[in-house]
Amino acid sequence: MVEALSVEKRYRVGKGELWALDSVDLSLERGKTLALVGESGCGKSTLARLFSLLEEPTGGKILFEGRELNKLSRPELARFRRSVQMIFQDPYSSLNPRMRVGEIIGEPLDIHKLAAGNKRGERIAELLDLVGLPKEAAMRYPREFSGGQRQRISIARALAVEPEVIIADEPLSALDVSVQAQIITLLKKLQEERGLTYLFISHDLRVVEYLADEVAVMYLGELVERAGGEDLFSAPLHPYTSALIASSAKPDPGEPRGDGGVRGEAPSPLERPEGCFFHPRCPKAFDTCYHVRPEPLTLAGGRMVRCHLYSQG
Amino acid sequence: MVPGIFKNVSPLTKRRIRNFRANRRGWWSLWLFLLLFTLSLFAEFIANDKPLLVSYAGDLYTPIFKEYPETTFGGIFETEADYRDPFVIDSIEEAGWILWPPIPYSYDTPNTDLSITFPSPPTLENWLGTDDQGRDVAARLLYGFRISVLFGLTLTLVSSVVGVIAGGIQGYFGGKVDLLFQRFMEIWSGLPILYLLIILSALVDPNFWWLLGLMLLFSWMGLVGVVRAEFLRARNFDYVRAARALGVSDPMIMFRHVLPNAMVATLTFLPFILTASITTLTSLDFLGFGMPPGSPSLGELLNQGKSNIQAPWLGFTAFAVLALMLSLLIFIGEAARDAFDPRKGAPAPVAENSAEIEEL
Repeated sequence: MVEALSVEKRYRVGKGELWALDSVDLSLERGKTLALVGESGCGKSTLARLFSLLEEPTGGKILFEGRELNKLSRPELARFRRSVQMIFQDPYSSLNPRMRVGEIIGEPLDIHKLAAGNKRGERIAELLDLVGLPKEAAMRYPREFSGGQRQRISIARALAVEPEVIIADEPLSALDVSVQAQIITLLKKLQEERGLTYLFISHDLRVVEYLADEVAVMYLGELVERAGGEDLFSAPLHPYTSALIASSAKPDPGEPRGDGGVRGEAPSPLERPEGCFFHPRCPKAFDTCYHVRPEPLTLAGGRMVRCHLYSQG
Repeated sequence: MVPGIFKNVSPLTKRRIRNFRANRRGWWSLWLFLLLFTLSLFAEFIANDKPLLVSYAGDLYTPIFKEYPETTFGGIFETEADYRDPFVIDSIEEAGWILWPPIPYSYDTPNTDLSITFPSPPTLENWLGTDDQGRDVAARLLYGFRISVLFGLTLTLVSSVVGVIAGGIQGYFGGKVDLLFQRFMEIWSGLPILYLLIILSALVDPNFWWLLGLMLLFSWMGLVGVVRAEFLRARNFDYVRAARALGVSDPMIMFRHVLPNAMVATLTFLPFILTASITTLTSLDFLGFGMPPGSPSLGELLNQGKSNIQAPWLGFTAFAVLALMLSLLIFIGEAARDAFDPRKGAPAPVAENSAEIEEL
């Protein structure tokens, strides 16, 4: 479906350069959920914006059905816009406060001329029903809804164009836990009913474990590990992945949260460390890690890891 | 289409109106200004050298709306009747009556009484005296006020439209567009405006529309800063991103999603732009580079006041009217600005429209 080939994104910051993404290879498979995890500032959202063509990469390619995104013709671009939709983190800023819900959901219908007249109203009611909102909601303003309901409206807007891929940039992190569960159930139900492909960005590993078919772990703009959901959680390879799993909150409050031996904060993407980006925080770092940047290694079962521990033999 | 703002009165709008009314000075200034402006719009019925109504030989005539030849009223000439001509007046009053406006002079009607020297001081006939060509000052003030305000309003409107478009493009696209545009504006705004206007108005014969165009060349920049800032801020809102991801075109996003946010800042600035426009027109008129000679104008009256120090009523009148008008506008502007200020607390807002749908 959508594929990233050694994508990089740099921003100029003053005289320096900020590497938001560096040689990222990632592909979304039809009907599957790929989860992207990592600390804040690691480039997850940047990748989401590149995948939805809100920004263009400074290097590498993003392919949509085998065609490069920035070379699409106008009709192809319109088709891409209909195929790939986005859900945002903050349900408050992602809906225009001056438009009624009906207008918000109706806009994509108008842009892509999907429904007009009577049909338009019916379609809006249908979409609202799909996300579990009453059709009367169309006449109201976003401010009259709670966070969870707003996120439902966002989902309805994304679904209006009948997309194949939905890029969800931390769609749950602004919501209460009970509401998170409702939205997860909704996303799961929609995927089963319509065969949607998700790129699900999150830092909540429990949600990822539940939702994802495949997980990609990012650190400082590069992918450090990619594996099937179960494999990753049962046997993490990269020390950073282990640390993330160890530090995630446990259901039992008595159980102490670990840090996997990792301390300190991620270095700035403006001054990336030499060698492996993770070595200053890595409990298992050895000589090579200080000087040589590891290349991605493909292991059995299609797993990928970027770590010197596994290139030894 | 003005999305949201006027379609229904939202609680926010209600709060703003309440805040505006709470500022008594601004509130009364608005009404006083509207009253004066409305009066000046009907200047033809208040100060005119044609009667409001003439009754002659049993028929009614309305000279303000229609031209009647002198022969209608028993005169000799086929040309339009001169209602200030004693012969015509006598001839009409023999067979009917004349109803005059409160001020029986238009802005360009000279007082033809040869026994007085101009400028003449205020009398019952000329309430504020006459200027150096024997024209009634009260009538000229009324018409001059109207032209000033109309000119200011038109200029404000046009330069807002241009300014919003320019600021919007800069803010929304950012990057190189913004950089180049900003540099251009820095140079453009560095030009000595009044000096250029004087040169330009020497090249062309200035009239209302010429002056409007000349001033527009510079006045559009007033709003660019705020609008650009609003667009820069709003272009990173998630709902703008969502619209882009949906494939909504840039002009459409700017108009539907971003512009309504920039409107508040724009509206706040309007009264001040209006004030500035009026002041510029007055200064040009004062210098003699403004409206064509003979037009009623506050600046020209000020200039007469300066050249006729022995007739202080000219200078004082022009000064008083200008000061009053500009003060009213500033008061209105301040009240509007405070009413739109989100940091300003609402005067005890009543909870309304806060009912939420229950969580489903």
